[in-house]
Amino acid sequence: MKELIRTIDLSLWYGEKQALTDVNLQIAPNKVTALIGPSGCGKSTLIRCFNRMNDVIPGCRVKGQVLFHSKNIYGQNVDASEVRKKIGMVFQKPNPFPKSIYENVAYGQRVAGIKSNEKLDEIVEKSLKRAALWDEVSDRLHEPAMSLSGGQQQRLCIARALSIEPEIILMDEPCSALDPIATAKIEDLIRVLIKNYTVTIVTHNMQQAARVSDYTAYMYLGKLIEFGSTKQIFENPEEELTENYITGRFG
Amino acid sequence: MIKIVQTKKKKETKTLLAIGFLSITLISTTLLSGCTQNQNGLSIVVIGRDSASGTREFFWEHVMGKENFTSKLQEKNSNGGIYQTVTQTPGAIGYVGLGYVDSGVKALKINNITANAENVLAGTYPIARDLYLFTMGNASGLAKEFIEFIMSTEGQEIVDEEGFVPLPTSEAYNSTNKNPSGSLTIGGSTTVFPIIEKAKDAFKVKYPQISITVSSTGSGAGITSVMAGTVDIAMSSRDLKSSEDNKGLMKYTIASDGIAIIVNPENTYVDNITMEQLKAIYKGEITNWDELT
Amino acid sequence: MSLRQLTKFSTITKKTIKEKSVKTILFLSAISAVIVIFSIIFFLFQDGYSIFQTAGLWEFLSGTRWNPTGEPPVYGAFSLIVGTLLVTIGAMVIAIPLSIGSAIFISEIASPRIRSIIKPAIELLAGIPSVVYGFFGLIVLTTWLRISFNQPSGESWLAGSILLGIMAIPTIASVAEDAISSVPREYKEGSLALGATKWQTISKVIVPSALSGITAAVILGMGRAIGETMAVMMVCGNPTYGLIPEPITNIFAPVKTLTATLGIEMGEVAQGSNHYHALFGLALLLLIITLAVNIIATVILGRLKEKQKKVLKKRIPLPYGISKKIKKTLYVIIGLLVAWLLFISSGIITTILILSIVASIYYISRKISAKNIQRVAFGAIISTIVIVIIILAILISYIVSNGIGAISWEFLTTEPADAGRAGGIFPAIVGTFYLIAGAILIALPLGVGSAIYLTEYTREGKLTKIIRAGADLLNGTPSIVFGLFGFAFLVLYLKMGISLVAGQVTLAFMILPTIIRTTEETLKSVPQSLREGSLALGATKWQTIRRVVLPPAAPGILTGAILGIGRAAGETAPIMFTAVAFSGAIPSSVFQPVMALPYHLYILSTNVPNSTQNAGGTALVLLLLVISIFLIAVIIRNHYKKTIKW
Repeated sequence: MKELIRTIDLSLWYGEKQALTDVNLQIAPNKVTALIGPSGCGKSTLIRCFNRMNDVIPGCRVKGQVLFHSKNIYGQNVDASEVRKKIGMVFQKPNPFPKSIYENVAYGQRVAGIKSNEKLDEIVEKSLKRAALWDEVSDRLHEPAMSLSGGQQQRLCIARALSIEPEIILMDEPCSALDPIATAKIEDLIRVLIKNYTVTIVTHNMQQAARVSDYTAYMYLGKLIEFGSTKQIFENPEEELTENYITGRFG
Repeated sequence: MIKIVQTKKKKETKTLLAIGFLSITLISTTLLSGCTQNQNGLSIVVIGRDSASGTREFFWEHVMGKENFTSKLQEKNSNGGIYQTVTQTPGAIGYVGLGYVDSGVKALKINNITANAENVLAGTYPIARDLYLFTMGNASGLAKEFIEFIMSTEGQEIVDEEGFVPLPTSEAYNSTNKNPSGSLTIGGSTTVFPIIEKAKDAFKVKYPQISITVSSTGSGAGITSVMAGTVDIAMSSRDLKSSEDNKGLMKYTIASDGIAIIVNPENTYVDNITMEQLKAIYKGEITNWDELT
Repeated sequence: MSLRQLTKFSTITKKTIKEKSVKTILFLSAISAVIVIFSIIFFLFQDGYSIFQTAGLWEFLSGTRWNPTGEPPVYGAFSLIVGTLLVTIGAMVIAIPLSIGSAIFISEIASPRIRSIIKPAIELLAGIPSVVYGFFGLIVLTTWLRISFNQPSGESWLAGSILLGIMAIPTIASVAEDAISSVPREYKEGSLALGATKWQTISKVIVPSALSGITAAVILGMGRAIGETMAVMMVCGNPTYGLIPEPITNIFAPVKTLTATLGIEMGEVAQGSNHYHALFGLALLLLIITLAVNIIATVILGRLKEKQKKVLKKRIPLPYGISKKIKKTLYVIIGLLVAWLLFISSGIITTILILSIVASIYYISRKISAKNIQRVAFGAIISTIVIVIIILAILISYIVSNGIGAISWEFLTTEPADAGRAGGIFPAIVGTFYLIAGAILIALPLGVGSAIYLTEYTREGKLTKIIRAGADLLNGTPSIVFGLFGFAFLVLYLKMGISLVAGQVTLAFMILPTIIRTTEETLKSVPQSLREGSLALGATKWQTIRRVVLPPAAPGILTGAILGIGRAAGETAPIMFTAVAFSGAIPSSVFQPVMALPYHLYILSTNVPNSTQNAGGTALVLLLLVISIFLIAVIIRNHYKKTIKW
């Protein structure tokens, strides 16, 4: 399979505690890859390695490689902010900035240096449309983003992530703070997005993984236990640990 | 990704260098321009006292003729403060009691009369005044003893040592059969303060069991305080104002003093000054020392 | 009734009596605290407004000449108001960039190890008493200004602003740093995840989100600057009738502030005289300015919070394009104003030079990559913290080097001689201890009692809000106003005379609001669930407070008390006319005057020539005393921060 991201013997420590051990994983382009596993298995940690978000955490140490288009993003002269422009992220709790809706979506392009108002207007509209939010907010773009509902805020964050035209969108449990209707909207959105993007999603909701993803990786205690097509993982898991988790014996 | 970054870098290094050069030029020009505040001659820095001061009151009446000072006059809260500022500021002029004149400052002659005790005693020095102690009602008890001590020969020796002008006559202090006790609070003039401080030390040698506290807050403050009862004796370098008369205050003259006009020792522009020039300086009409040569 | 039931009944009654009496005691302390707070305000008002009648309110506020002892007396406070404003503005210009830069450095850029060194260092600046700043300013700063800028005299607006700016840095920096570090991490991560650089995240997301806290910090700093007396009195020159500099931008002109006027003239006023009322009028003015500053702060904070959270209701929003146009025109107007100010103060050439530099910097900044902007920005921020540390180092090293020569066993244990040039400062050390002991003995029980009553026994409502507002107002009130109150009420009206007890009471009143507020905050941070757990087990209210609420709150209360002590030890203005004498012995009764370290330093440096060595020694001893008090508070706070985790 052609891969967009590939990790090679990736290990990570928070101080003395090892959170990831020798993870070897591939992310396929234009597909949805789900990371599942019980709490504390390292799935959020792993996904945060893909855009070097773990750099923010003091005391965090990484060994191994994360290759993006065959270049190691943890290499010597790699600028993390350039990486993040190609690999976007949506967080668990919607985190719009305390600014207007427009300014939230325009932010990414502004920091990249775009100043022309026409260009920004265009980008904002395109991103909001792609995030299926445009119809709901087009008449109040300059109102505070905080005035939106939880589900709308999360779609706003997706629009914001899309605005910088990344190749991959990482989603760290994007629906766990949302109600079922909002969750459904976002799951539909994900299936539409992969026409143009690649999505990697962390979820503790197995059914969601089964509904939405093409590939699934099961993690346990910092190790990648099994990886394969979603159909195979859920119907015919090879590892016993995987099977125990899928069938609900724990977690 | 990498190639584009590299060409961008070259352009930016050039712009950064440009900014650095520009800012260095800017900073140096500002600094240099600030330093060329050209001074012809030497600006006069007029120093005076706050409104509580008896010295200022006297100066205002007898030199200024009750006219307003220049609004640029900088107030100090004591004779010592004026002395200090004059020693540190080349262009300063100030007024202090005679006892504060020493080698650290230059005292100007007024109408060619030197500021010293002889000329004050002889009456030729134009700005001379008496120094007083005030009490509410007649002084009694410890206060009476202390005032007697100051007006005695021993006390007047202290006056002389401090550089002020002793009373023309004085008697020896009689301490037989005297056993005063208690405490005394004294406050007021900073001019009189050095005399009282020394006298206090000598007095305590005679009567170790008493305690005396002294504060120098200005003649006006001393007089107000003694009327309010917060001090026992007020030191003053001026007489009572009309608003303070008939309030039951008793006056004791303890010395004479001249008001010396002092300038910084590096000031070579003047040695002698007339009363009119002095007034003009303090009114802000003469603002540079070279106008006087 | 059986015997057992009888005894049960009597224990219940005993409990109830104890409960009731405790509640009454606490209530009384709350009431007395409230009485103190509002009677100070009332007293000032009553003694002050009569001058407005005598001299006319408009003449008082707009007259440019302040000459209460002239013939005829003139009461024009305008030049004093201008003096206060100029010195404050200058202080803010210096303090704001340095403080906010330091705050950003501490919370976002510094490593934890560097943070643990820099944070206490900045808090150290807060501990230095204002009279020590004044001493440093008088001996070093004014001379340096005079020589470096070739001015006739260094005592000026600029000198005052520099000192006040330095003094305001710790206040602004610590509150701003709190605000910046409490910005939710999600915003930071959200911004970084979009490819923004660290500096872009700081400048575009973190600082705007923390803006309300930063504004509050700046306003607190302003209040600090407005209320400062000793430092400005010693270095601003004090032009005798007040002076509005010509041109207004002449930073080397001397100025007289409201606080300095009070400090200089307070001692000489006779009770009930016009001059007396005039000074109260000035104090009232100061109080009103403090109140205005407090109100502006609350309003700004409220509006900022609203803007971020929800749509402002009942406001017709301007169409987006028009509000942008308004902003643009506003910028143009401000730009023209600044250019005009530059022109009148420094001439056409400098104006053109500066404008072209600014324009080119703006143009260039649009072309540079974000990475390089970050380098420049971080460089600027690091330089601010370096400047702050250098200032601290200069201050401390000057005081230590000047004072160390005077320190000897004799210096610490004998009385002063030769007007303080010789001998020692023993009575001043003892006097300072007596003063702070008395102050804390009065303020601590009163303050803690009121806070307990307000937090635990009353419901949050109008009454508690009013009391809190009163306490906040007095918290920001300049210490010289307390001195005036103490002098007029305790010394003159109650005829306590200039005495130790008058000083203790004045200081107690000054630190009372601080103790009430810090105790209240600490008590509020104890979770409600603890109280409920205790009550559910059958404990009474007072038992709950004593056994469950107070123990974890004790360190916080203690810290507040210690900070109050530190402040009381270093203050000069409240004791200048209420308690101190320059030379004397240790008082044998509380009704006698006392020596004190800050006042001794003040008199030595401004009244007694050739006493710099002993003045330095006094400054050093005072500094060591206050710093150690603050250090104890910091140690206690840090120790208990680690052990108490809710």
